[in-house]
Amino acid sequence: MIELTVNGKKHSVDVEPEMPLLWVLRDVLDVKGPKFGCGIAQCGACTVHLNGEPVRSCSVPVSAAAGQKVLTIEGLAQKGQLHPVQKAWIDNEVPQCGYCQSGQIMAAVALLARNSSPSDKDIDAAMTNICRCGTYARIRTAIHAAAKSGKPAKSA
Amino acid sequence: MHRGIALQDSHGSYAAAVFEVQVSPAGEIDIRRVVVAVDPGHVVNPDSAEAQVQSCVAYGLTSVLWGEITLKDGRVEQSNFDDYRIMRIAEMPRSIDAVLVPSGGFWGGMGETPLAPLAPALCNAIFAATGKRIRSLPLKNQGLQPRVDRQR
Repeated sequence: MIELTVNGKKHSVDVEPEMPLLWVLRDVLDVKGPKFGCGIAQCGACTVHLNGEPVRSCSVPVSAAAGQKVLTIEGLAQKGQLHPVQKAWIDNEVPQCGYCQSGQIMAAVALLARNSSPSDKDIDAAMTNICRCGTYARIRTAIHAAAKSGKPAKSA
Repeated sequence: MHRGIALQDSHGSYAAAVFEVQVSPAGEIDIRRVVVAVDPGHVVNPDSAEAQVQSCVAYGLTSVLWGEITLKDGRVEQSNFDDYRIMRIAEMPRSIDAVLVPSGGFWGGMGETPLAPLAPALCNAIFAATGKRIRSLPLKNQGLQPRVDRQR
């Protein structure tokens, strides 16, 4: 059994230690916000936070998350209040098809948690997630808007 | 600054694009500004229409710069995003203007319409900058790549 905390809740899962964290989240714990995109850590659709750091959960074995804190997009809102990044995403109508967007938001939340006022170059360096719809212009706008809207809450 | 323009009748609408670029001797294309004007007859939601223009620039430039499927021994060589490059945010032009000019009287497309003039407009700008006519795509095979490290 492997124990891990997902969005503040402790779980014990009976899986192989090398199973990707993404598979455990989606197929064992039914946490479907993180998406399977490429499976090789290229696209970022599976981005979650592991102890506050953004990771590509398709390429992290669940054993690496044992005893650790995992945050997915399902855990961003606090007491029914959306995270400032989620609000900015809605205000700026960022998503199109939406598939990559939970990963984009998790990457943006992690960026703002360590840099509350990122420059365009900071955004370029941190936001390496692929969006095939091409929502990049609005992702950039939304990150700047979230930065202006006040300090986003620290991620778990 | 070097400018290229193109106009297309596309998906039942009209789309025109203007690129302003600089091209370094090393083949780095610095896309400073993209303007796309679309006449789709009617515009229902201007914000969504603008989003389509922005995202067509990302999608279209991905194709123009890198889009290529190659065959070897009867098999496609590309298998995933590590060998089939997709534009990321750092390569996205910072200045994209969408100009919506609905003239009424017809209902045309908006989703892929802005794609159509992008390749010819960019290649015309490259011609203006270098004197070299691009006769086949993608641009990566012509020694051209986007400049990303802009000090902005």
